[in-house]
Amino acid sequence: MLAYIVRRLIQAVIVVIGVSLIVFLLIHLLPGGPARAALGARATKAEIQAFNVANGYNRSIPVQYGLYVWHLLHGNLGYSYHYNQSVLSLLETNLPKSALLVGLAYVLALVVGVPLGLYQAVRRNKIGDHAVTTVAFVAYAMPTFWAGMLLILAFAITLHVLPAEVPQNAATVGAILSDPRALVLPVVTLALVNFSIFSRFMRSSAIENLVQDYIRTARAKGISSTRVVFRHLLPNSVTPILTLIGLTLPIVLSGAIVVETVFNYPGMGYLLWTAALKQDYPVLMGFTLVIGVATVVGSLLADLLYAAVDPRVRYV
Amino acid sequence: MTADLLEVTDLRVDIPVRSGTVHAVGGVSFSLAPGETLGVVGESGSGKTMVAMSVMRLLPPGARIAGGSIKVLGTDITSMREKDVRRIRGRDIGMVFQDPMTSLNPLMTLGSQIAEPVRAHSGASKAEALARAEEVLGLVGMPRPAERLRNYPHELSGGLRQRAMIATALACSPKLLIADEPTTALDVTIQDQILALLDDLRARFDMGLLLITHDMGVIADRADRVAVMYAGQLVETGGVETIFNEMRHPYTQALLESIPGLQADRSRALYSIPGAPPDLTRPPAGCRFAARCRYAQERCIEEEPRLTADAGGHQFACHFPVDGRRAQHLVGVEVAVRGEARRPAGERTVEVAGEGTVEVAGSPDHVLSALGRGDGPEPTTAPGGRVLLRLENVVKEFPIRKGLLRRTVGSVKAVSGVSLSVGVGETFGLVGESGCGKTTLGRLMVGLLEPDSGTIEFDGVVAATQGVALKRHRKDVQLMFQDPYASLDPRMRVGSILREPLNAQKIGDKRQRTARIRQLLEEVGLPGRALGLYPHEFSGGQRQRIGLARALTVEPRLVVADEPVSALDVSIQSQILNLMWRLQTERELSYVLISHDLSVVRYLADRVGVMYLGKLVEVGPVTDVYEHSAHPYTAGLLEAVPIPDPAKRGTRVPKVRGELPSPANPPSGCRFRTRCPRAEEICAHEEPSLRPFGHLGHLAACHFPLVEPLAVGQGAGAEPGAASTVGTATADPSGSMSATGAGS
Repeated sequence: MLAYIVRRLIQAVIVVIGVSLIVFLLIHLLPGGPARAALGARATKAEIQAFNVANGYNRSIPVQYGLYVWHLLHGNLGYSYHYNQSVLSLLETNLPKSALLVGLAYVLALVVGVPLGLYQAVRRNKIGDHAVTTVAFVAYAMPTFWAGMLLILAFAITLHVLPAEVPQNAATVGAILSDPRALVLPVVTLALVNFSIFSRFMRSSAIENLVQDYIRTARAKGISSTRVVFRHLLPNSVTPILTLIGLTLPIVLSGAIVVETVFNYPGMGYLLWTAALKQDYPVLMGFTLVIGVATVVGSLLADLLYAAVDPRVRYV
Repeated sequence: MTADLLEVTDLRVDIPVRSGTVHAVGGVSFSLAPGETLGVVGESGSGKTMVAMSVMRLLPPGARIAGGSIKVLGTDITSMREKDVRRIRGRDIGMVFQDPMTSLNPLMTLGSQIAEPVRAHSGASKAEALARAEEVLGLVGMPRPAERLRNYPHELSGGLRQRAMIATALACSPKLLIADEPTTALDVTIQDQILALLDDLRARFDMGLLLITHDMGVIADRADRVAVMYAGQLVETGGVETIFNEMRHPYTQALLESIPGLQADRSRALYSIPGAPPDLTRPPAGCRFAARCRYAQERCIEEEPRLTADAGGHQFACHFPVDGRRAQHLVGVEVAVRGEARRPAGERTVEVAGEGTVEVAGSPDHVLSALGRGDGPEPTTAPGGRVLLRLENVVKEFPIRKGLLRRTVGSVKAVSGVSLSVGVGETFGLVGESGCGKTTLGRLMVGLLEPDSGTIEFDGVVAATQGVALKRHRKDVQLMFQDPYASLDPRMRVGSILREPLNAQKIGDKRQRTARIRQLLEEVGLPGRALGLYPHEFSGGQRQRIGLARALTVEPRLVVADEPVSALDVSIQSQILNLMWRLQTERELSYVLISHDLSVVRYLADRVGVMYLGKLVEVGPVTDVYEHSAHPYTAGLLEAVPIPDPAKRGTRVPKVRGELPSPANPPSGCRFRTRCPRAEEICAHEEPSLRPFGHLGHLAACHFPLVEPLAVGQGAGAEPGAASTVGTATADPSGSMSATGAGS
């Protein structure tokens, strides 16, 4: 088991290096360059030259990348010239807030999607099944920003029951949590896509398991159908969902960028969005790295959960 | 009968489908008393499982009880509310299912699975329920029950899992135990143990046992009374002796004749019931068996026979009942020397009427389908005396990898030094329990796996494992698979399935290919329109015909058939066996027949090899090996096969105990010693080598054989040069065997 985790972590490092390399090259291919973005349209050639020298942008790209990695290994993620802060401190303030949003969205999607998928499997081809299927497809098909705007229109502007944005001076997770109602709309919006994915996969997985022999055995014991569903069907059907938790992380993170923008949520996504506009290389790189690590670790965690649920799975 | 535990009266089960309603069970009545075993026998689709599931009120979705009553301990359960039925399930009725690999929840410990019904029905605490679980695990003969409570199903072997399944069914001390094909998925040695256990538990707790099976041997061995089902109806019921010796229904008679058995006359073609059971959406007005019955007359088609009883509770539903004897004297008139029968014999074996030819059935013609097969002196020699396939010291191990660097820490020793040869036109049977390496050996022969060491020669040339030569080898050697449902691509039409091997081998042009597959279809008894259909449109037997046709498209010289009939019903099984036999005589094919079914191998094979944990422990002509087994394992396997004759019941003494050890860590010396009744000190130290037991290449590897081996030098009379190799400890048995192969 330990050997397996170590091997997977080594793989993770390789993946993260690959991701960082690609992103590094891509942002350096962008026209304009950071100096122009940082200093404005009226900056003189000399000023730009000085900026580039100060930030090392006058060197060749391989050398820049090498330096970046060197600093990284020393815990230095770089310095944002746009925010005038170190990337590390930006991450420290914004990452938890985004993690809160993403985490809550996952919990909501699981809590709603998994039981609904089970319900659909048990009531297969009945009206309830069709209704949930319709909802799931609509939720899946709708672009996140559009769903967010519709929700704001309905619940914030028309009905006035929920706020459209979180407190704008909320610097910490605690400050956001001071008005939990404000979290409802962004979390729901972000959960929509995952809810539909989870319920669809849960449904087909449970349908597959319902015809298995051990379900028949369980029924033959004379236990209640609730117990058959939750003790026998659910654990056996949930494994694909675990894999999906890891696999959907990139989708949810990119969804978070949109949701944070739509709801003015002061998290990482919002920051990334601005950084991209301002060509704030260090911030872009830092965040890409975080997303890369999160994705790899997420799927590793999913696989480990898999082993925790299913005693037959032993990683060697 | 008084105080009936279970009384089923005129039970009807309907399953609505798109094209109408399947009347899966059409008016079945029977009863079961405490302490009694009622065997329900019938082919797949006969409705026997539907009856069992009705008694549990656990019919699959869609199916419903359409009429009749089921009284359990005097209460009719057909009209009960689900909530009340639940109280009976698991408490008054326990059920054991077929496949122990899939019938237990893989994510729950045995303890919590067995304790579950106890808690549901008695309100016992968790600890009390677990204590009961431990107790019943002990009852079913599980070694170290307390430790097993924490085990998951995958940590146990098939036999132990089935014991756990039985423990679950027994947990609440039910009065009625339903066992639906409880041993079909198990090896014959384990089957014997499980059946004995069920029998013992039934007697100890005075339970009624409803034993559902397709295996007449199991019925003869264990049932008190028998109910024979056909197409959703009971056609005959009576005491076990009556059914086997005084059967009156032609279906019962035909069923008994279709079994190859260990005593079957190898010189005759097997009787096979022509055609297939009727479509139960529109069951025939008259007798449902009429279309396949050799005694059917006009009246049978018009009027439905009623179940009538004679004295002693023997009931049967037939207008023209048979006289109670097996009708083999009617068929198989011809006795020819088997060697002679090897010549093209297409016109003699009026084939096993294809399953689509229900219309022609009813005429007495198909009686001829069971024509004689010759039997001469047992041939260990291939006709023509040429060796086609020779294996020498073939070894195949699968590595077990572990740790950070995936180092090999051990290996599963699937095949450990097997030498054998197969002659041209010969059938070589390969038997052994699951896990003995017989399938791996088959795959090595076909070139799907590469041996770690040793050589495989085909027609005198070392078989290639790579490149163009491998492709040529694959043309000569084809595989026929076990499961006709899983081994044909469901999204390919039969035409494409059959054409694919020809395309791969680049044989002929488009027209020639079509002509060849059309001819093949005809040879295996399928209509030409089959080409445009998909596999799911055929029955199991027809699919196995397609599988055989697919193997034959490239005109191979050797077909490795891995359990070709074990997924089929007996009546269909005999059709396929006859077909394989006929094609062999027509095409001078060689077969390697891999099977766990000793009767099938005895019937079809000329020579047989018995494998145990990757080793060939005994090999020789079929009759020699079966009748004068030298190795205790062979004898034990044979002893474990239930004989379809109630007179033989209780005469068999199980000789092979326990279960197959792990092939990753086989016992030292003789690998069989841990289960052998004759094992002594030397068996643990010294691995026995194959030595001769007969002049015709009968070899066995045992220190304490059941029959006297030939003295060193004695074998030389029959086979010059063979004994000198065989006599030494480092004997290479292939030498002597190939000598016999090429001998006469």
